[in-house]
Amino acid sequence: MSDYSLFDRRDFIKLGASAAAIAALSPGLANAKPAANVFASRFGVSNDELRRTLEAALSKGGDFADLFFQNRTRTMIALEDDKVSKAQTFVDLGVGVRVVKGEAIGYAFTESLEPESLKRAAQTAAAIAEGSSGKKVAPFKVGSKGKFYPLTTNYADVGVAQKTKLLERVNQGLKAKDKRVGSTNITFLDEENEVLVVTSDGQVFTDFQPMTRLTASCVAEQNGRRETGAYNVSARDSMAFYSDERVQRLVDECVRRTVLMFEAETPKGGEMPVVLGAGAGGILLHEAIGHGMEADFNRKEISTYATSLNKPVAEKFVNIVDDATLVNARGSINVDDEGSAASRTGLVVDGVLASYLHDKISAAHYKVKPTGSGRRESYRHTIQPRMRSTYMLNGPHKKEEIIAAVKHGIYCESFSNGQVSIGSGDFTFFVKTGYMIEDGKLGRPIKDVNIIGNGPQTLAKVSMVADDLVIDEGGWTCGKNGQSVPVSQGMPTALVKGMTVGGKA
Amino acid sequence: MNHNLELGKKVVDMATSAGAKQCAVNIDESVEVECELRNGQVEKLANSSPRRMNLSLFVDDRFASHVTTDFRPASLEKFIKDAVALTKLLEADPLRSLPDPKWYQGRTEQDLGLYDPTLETKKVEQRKAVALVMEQAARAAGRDVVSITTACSDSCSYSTRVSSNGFADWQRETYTELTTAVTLREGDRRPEDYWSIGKTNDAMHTDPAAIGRRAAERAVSRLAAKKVPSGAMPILVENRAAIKLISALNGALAGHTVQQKRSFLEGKRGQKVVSDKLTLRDDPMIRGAVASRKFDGEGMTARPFTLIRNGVLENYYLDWYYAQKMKMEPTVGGGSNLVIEPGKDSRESLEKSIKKGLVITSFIGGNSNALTGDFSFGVVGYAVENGVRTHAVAEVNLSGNQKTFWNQLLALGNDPFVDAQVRAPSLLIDAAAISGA
Repeated sequence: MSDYSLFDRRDFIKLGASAAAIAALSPGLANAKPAANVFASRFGVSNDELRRTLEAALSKGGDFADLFFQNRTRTMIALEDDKVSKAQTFVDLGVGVRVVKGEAIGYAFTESLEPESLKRAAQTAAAIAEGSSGKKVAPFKVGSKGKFYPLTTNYADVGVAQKTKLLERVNQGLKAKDKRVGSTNITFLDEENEVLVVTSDGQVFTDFQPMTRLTASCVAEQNGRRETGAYNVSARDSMAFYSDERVQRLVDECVRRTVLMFEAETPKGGEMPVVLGAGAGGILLHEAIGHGMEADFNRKEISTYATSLNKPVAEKFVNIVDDATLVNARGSINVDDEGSAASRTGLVVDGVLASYLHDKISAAHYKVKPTGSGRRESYRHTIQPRMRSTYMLNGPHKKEEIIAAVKHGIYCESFSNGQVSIGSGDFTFFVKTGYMIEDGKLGRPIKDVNIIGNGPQTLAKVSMVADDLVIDEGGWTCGKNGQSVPVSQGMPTALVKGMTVGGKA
Repeated sequence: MNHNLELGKKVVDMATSAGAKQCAVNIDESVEVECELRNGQVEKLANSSPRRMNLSLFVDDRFASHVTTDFRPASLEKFIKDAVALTKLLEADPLRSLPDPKWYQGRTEQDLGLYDPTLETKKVEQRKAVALVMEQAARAAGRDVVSITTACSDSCSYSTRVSSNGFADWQRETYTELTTAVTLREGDRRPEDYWSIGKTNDAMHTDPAAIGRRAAERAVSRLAAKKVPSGAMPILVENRAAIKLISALNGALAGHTVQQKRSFLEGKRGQKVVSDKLTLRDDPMIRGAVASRKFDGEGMTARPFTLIRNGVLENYYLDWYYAQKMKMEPTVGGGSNLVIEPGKDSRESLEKSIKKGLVITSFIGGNSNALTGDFSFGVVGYAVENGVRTHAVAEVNLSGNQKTFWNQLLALGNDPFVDAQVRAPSLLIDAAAISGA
């Protein structure tokens, strides 16, 4: 799987920004000051037009309105059959208008930034309310935000040749690493996403969000049998992310995971202890608790965690956070997509369910501060509470003692995807590579098994947590109600006493 | 929508002038409306008109595709110039080109019944009324209801394609989907399920209340779910759920997967690869079906073809490029309606034949490996004994390998699910590996 996904069951681009324009945007926003011409320079829309658009949005009596401008450019370059002969570029420009009335939402977007189109979108969204104008639009002030993805260069200034060279280097590395490696597919992606949020209560936020991902995948052949494996790395970072060490790890892991499959077998299925490897094992948290803690599901009382706040859900040594502030992490955001400050939110603190993940609507419902979790895929989509980087903090055990504690079970090393049913709490994740554990020792490699469990029950069964937390460097994408957003996850090695492992009868 | 045909021609001219040897542009424009109610109150109203263009450029045997939503004339001019410049920097691949124009010939003149003009003038009030009908039906059929969400969404899409080697045409399609999601209370658990039906014409939605009722019945049937013991057992996979299994097979037929030697079906043309009970056809000509069309994304004339006939592999999905790479005739890169030849038995009679096994109503998570054929999916459904459903089932996996799994196919139902791109009937499969308690 070159593309990692974490789709829950409720379903399942580039700016020619010059360096000077970026420099003008990034610093100095920490202090509130009038937002003079940010809009005009970035999106060709004047302050007056913004104000008129927000007024039109509130013209039917909406409580609150916001505008989300986005200009995203993305370039993908791919190597196949030993040639860098395929590229795709995406330019995504548009604005979304949201009007909130109570907990109901009116939404419209337009890809044309002409005043007439903005006005029409605002009037369409306004129709969620059915009265006449009430609220006024407050004076605009630029709000503060974090600085969690410092950059050395912009992708707009990186030539194709440099990216091509990186792909060729990875390809040579894969072929040189093991004679059994045959066909390879390598993809490089970079993205620069410029956003501007303007709200009817006068808040103005801009952010410049970079993203990159490099995926390597290969097919190896041995005695007529073929296997495939992949590895990818992703971050909100510049080309500097691709250190020699990281590129080498990408090559090594891609090949190791592929040739390991020649010895791997499908285990006998059933309920057994499951050890989550450090790093990508965080997929367990994403599915078992993360989605269920998104406050929209709880506000609507449709999450299995709707009545569990402040109750113990796990052993005292279990601490789980959802964090927007990890430097350069794929899941980090300086400010959320409705302008709330980025934060680190404790989901489980000392075994007790501590906080939901809030956007503005759910925060108002629960009368708490937003956690900065309001995210959206693009201007085409409305805000939802979403995860950022979800991970478990270190616990009191050692990796070796965890494996030694398992008589018969499995150790999960790498994963491709997962899913959850919010209400029942039942969730799954798919294990690409792992090992059997027999009598406290790692045994034969295993492959391609689905694991299924129940969120609250599984949390209660986390019986050991090691002290080796790793934030996974993979390019995870979370899907919710048809919207994809980049996320990160992390985990120390941990033991779940029992889950249902797919396998042979 | 001829303005996009004009725009397309202009873009092709601009790209050609900028140095493209060949080029093609797809312009997609639509109007999308969504009306969502929760517990009878409006929760969301959305109304938008997205548009985008996808420009395929062939410059000196080099290829790249470029997508933009920014149609401002000055932006477009820069976009095309940058796109040509970037394409030139790639490595040459002589097999990259537009399809031979002979594949553009003979498009059907027949009306495929994909466009319903009434959806363009439908009022929000009408959508709310339909959503309320579903809501009331769901409430009547549910018990311990926590939440009912109903949605009525529709779209009208126009797809236009213009190429530098003689293709210029457009097609339009409407789509309307009714959805009900029901959540119930069961202690701390909130069992939930949904039902939705998508159609190309509004008049095809003859019974919205049935959608609400079905959603509530599915949610109620999830109460008191438990695991079953692990073992090999017969399973009946309901038609809509069977889409997931068929899609795993279908994924191994994709041209790029086959050409890259990442499919267990690579090199198997003309060989028996699955049960002789299975026949899979791609049929873009079904009147009113959600994936019908006159031409595909490359402008090639849509025509039915067989992928697997009586278990024997006949064709892969091959777009122009992968057909060139594999020295074969193209079929189509992305499939239209996938028709699985149904059987003779009703789902009920197939279910009655199960002594001790499972009925699978949906899958949760899991994945399949197109190269090795291995798959493993989470399962939702019921335990069945002597043809009777005994209890709901949760936390169970179905695993197997497609190389052998499809030979365990005992029968197909006579009930293809016609409201999806994959028109799967219910499948009865013997000795499936179920992992549970």
